[in-house]
Amino acid sequence: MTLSRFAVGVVLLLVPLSPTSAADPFTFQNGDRVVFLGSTLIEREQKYGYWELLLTLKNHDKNVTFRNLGWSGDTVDGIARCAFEVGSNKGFERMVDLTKELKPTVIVICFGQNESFDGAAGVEKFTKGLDKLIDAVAVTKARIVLMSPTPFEKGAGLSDPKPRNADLAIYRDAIKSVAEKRKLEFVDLFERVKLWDLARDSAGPANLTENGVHLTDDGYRATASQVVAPTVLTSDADAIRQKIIEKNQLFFHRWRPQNQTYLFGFRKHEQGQNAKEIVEFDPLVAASEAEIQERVKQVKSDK
Amino acid sequence: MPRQSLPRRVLLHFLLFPASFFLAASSAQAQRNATIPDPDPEIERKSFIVADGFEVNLYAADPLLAKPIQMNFDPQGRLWVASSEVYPQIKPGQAASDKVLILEDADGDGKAEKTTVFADGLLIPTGLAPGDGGVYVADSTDLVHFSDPDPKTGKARKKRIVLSGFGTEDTHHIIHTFRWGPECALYFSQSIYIHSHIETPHGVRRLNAGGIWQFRPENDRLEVFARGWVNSWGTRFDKWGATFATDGAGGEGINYVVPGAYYATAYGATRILNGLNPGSPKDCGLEVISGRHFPDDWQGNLITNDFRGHRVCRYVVKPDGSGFSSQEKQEVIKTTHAAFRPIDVTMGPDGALYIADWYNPIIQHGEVDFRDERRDKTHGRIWRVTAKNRPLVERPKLVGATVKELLEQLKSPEEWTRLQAKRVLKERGAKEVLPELATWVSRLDPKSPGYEHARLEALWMYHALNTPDVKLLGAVLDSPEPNARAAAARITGDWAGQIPQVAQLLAPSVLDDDPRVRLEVVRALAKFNTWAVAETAAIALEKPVDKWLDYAIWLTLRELAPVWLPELKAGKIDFGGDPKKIVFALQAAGSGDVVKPLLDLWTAGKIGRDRADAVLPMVAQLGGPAELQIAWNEAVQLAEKHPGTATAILAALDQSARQRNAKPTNHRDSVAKLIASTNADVRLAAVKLAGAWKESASLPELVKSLEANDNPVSLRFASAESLANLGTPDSTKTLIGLGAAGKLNAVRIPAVAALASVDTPTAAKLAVELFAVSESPAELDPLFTAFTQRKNGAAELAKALAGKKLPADIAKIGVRIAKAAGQPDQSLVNALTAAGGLTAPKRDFTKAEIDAFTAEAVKLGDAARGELIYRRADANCMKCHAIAGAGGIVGPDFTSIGASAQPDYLVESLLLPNAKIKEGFNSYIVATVDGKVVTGTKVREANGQLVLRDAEDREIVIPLADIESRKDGKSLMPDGTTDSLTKQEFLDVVKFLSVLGKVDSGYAASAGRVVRRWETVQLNPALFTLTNRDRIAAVAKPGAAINWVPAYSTVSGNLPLTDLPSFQPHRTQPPYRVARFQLDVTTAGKVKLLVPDTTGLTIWVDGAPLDVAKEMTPDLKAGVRTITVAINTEQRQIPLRVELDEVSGSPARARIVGGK
Repeated sequence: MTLSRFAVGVVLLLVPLSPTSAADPFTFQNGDRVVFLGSTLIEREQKYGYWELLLTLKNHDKNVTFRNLGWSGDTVDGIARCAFEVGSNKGFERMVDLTKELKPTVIVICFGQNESFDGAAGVEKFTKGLDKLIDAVAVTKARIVLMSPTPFEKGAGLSDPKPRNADLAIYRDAIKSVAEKRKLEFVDLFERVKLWDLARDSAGPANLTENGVHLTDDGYRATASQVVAPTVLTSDADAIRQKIIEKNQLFFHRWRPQNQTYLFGFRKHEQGQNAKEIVEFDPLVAASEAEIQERVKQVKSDK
Repeated sequence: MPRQSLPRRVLLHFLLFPASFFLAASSAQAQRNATIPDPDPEIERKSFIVADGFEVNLYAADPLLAKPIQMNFDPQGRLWVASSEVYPQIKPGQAASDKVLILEDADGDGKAEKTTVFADGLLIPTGLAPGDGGVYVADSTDLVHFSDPDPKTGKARKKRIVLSGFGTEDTHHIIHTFRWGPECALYFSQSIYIHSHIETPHGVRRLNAGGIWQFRPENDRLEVFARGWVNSWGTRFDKWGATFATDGAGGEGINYVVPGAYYATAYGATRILNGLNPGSPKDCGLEVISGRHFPDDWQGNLITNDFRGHRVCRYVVKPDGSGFSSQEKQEVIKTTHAAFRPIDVTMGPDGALYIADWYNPIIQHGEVDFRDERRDKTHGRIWRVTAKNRPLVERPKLVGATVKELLEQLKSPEEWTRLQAKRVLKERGAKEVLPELATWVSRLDPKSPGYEHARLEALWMYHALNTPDVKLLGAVLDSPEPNARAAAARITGDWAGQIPQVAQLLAPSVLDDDPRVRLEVVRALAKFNTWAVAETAAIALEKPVDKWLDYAIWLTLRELAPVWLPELKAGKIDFGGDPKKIVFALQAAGSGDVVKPLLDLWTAGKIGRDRADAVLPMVAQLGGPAELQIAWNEAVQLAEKHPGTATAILAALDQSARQRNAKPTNHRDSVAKLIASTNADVRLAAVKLAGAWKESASLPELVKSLEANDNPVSLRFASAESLANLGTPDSTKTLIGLGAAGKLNAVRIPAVAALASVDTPTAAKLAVELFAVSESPAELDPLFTAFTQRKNGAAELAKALAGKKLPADIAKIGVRIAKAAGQPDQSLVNALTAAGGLTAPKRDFTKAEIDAFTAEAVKLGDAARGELIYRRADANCMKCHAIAGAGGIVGPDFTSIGASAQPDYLVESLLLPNAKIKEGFNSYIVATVDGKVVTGTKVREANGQLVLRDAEDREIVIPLADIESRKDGKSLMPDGTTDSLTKQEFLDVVKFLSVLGKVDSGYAASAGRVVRRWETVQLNPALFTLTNRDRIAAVAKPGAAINWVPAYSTVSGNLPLTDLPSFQPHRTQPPYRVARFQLDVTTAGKVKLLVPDTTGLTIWVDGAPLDVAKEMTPDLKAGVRTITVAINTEQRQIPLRVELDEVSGSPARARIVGGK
């Protein structure tokens, strides 16, 4: 099998990890179940899969599984998950309940970008919300990793990202101090992607973000190297990534299916009979995961 | 129809039906298949009834495409189609395999010969717009962009996620209706169940429930353009950028969209605008006719699709004040073909009209199972409508053209060409286009007829290139063409972020001669977010204000309140010292903060006493205790001389007490005095206030008010309720005394009903005593309701009924009310059934039974008999359901129910109303902290209040703070609604509903404007007194004390005279029947009333006699006008029919008032 280094740039530009605790937050235990919480940055990762791919390969012998519960536009209060119960606590409850239901051993929490639009005035509320969320999921006894959002970049709609980043830095600091206070691991994507940004003019890929905010394919690929150690990849790696994306899609249909209104909501008396289909995604997710593990083993044993 | 002559009703005891009845179930499968038509496109085409002078050809059909949902042409003239076979729901294990297709008609013969799959792997793409080197597509929670086609296959190789976070709570609500606006912004919509949270570089944008989004890909700016609608499946801009929308479930036809405005069902709306054609079928897709291929009288017409009724509809819109009026004309296409589902419509490169036909006998997925085998997954058509004997437009060559050539295309008579040229220019980029654009504008000939429009197109082009040109903007704002000025005003607002000082350009236009320019100016000002523009916007109040402008000014001042209100409070601004503007602005702001500045101005005499009606109720509604005291003192002073103002203040005080527990500091005296007022309105308001304030000193007056013989029923009930509200042992004892035997029923019933809220067990005992002696079962309605709307009320009543006997009729009323309560208490139903000796009808039906009924209804039902039964008062259909806007609004409008719903769905819905509930008609069960239980559909929820509509069509306001629990209820239609029908009657009603709205069934409400909703007189002594004095003309006198009750035309539009009571007004006159209707005149002028047969008719407009003729053209003033018709019973037996039409050249805009 030929070896290809599709992520050459990544390897070259790697910035060493410097988590607040000495341990590497992304070295997992055997059988770990990792749940990701966050907004668009997290939600879209499931469609690109680079983070999950590298985390899978790095922990190839540990049978780690991942569940992405990112939701665009969301905040630590779960505002985007309220659906019909606008303005209620339901969004938060849904986020917490589902997290618990998934029995995680590791929870990665990445919020703050949306909140940062409230500026310095909003940071106290954000910190309280983050504390509340951590307290709420603490019953899982999972190891909690806090992650800061990526910085804003210059884009078509953002001619000067400096003021935005000045605000975001305040939120990054808040996340960091929560991590320190609670002795949690902290991954500073804000700072490290910025460092990377400085370096990329010489060798990095052209487009890290779509619009100054959200990562492109290149962006996810590049940040992947900042959250995990570089891994030498074979040509099979991208096939595994495709499989991961497929698995994530199946899980998405499981926890966030279309037609919620009819399946589980206030019109379930009409089409609730079809809700039985939704649990049928569980074995499909499991089968997909088994296949991923199988392929990872092959890749690693071929090495 | 003489009710007593009907055969005695036989209860539908389904259990008793012979076994043979169920044998029909085996044929259910056959009947289901029978609804699937032959898929041959030619058979479908031949079924079309096409507008005179037009023809239809097949542009494309399966297998070239399947299940088209939305379509848009690209500048090359290729048709892009979003296609979904996965809809309505992906199956576990199924791949998301939906596609973006490109159809090409390379040789220009009007038929596509090639399909390219540009993208696949999509999940129910419900909208698309080609542009920016590829196509924007709705893909579930994302809006994505595909580009970089493979030269060999034509398939996109690149996919980019543009926006994420759109809700997917319902797959026909997910983002849809993609259209490029005239300034090349991307407009798209979401429907009522969707909740979207989208991150952009400019912040998170959230839209809960329906609305139209506006997105500018070049700077990632996403905003909400307008809010509301159930399914805003159509958006278009006319030649001058005025915006229109349709609603696929709203039933108000064409909507004129005011930027930023709220429409029906908008989340968080305190005030909404309505559509232009209330009572219309539901419409999907929208296009404006434009270009040389269509005849002159079609230019600017709006085309949309009544996909339920298999019709492509045409509306004529005309300016009407600051808005538009709209009138439906003869259909473009109509057919009886069950699978013809026109859902999108667009003009094409050749000037023809293209229609996307989703082709499916089954629509919807709420009512019909996701996996129903009748769902079509493989067919789909694009139809092309052309005018006979008129040349097509030569397809413009845009893609390879020079910038100069493209700019020349902005003068094209075809909107299609102008928009596509702008798209191509935009993609060429500002650098290449701007220099030539400037030259092109400078060389335009001011004398040419298209000059003003060409300059506007140039301005839109600058907008599209994201490069404001203030000089040209100023020139177009000064254009002699009002439509151009209106469009320029909107653009000014769009540039607010880029060049803030342009707000000054708008200032003079706020008093523009044209009302719609003023409206756009006022809305554009809202974008600047300064107190100065708020003052400018209020200047618009100096000129006449109609409903659209009033709304626009209100909305702008409301949106800007956070910036101007602090300035006003600080005394820094005063709206030019104009009390009218100040009061209007403060009303718009609607927060408690406005009260102090308002009262300061009032006490300083800066607002004249003549504005008391505007100022004081607002103070009473929003003020604190000291301010409420001032309002209360004023109300006491005004009660005799200005009872209207006093009543409004009292009502507002009442609201403040109940909804936010705010009372005047000292209110001990005078309430009792007002209860004894000579004015009935003041009396009622004071009685309620005594209860709200728990003013125990008023007890004797409340008792008097309850017992007074000449007090109306409503006042008696209010008096009893207030007694209960006093909440003292004394008041409860008093109520028990008033409810006991020995008093009149008219006193006992309100007393016991009120007692139910304070001492339910005693009230239940007294109620059962009352049931036994009541002679008029109808009077007991409110008494039963008093129990069913209380926690434990039903259970207590059931307890009190144990072992008692009741007259059967009274027990039946009780059962009906118990079931309408949303969470029927079975113990009460059982107790009433036992006490009344009723037999319990069957309540559960198997699928086989429903299928059997369906088969029988199709075979044995009679639609004509069904309509008569439907119209019968005791069938209770029209109380809640309208046909073409005439009838109740508690349940869905039935105009095209037969064309949209399968018969088995109708049978199921009649027998089991809770099985499937139309969107927007699900109920909530709300329990309040004070023990009330209210069931109703949501009207709105905003400003700390929830407003529900109950089964009796009452709007009930519940402060959110008072809500203890809120549950999803079911249908407001009670189980057993059809129990009073015989089996044959039931089959007839099903048959009638199953053909209703079907083309050529004889039961399709026509597009013409025929009067359907009437009122007739109720015969009572007051009427006889009036007519005895003034003869029959008395009925037409405005404000005459006559009880009017509703009457409705049949689906055909005729009003059967037998539905109207006949009476002799005076011994010198023959017997007459009377009917009246209303016209809402928004612009004054002459209108035409058509009466095909005038035999025996006398007609008045607002009491003034009209010369009766087959064609009458009264000159009407603006406002609601009442047309009263007296029918000489001896001379006329044939039905009455009146149609409204326009008088050519008349400015008048009028519509027939519909409703219940």
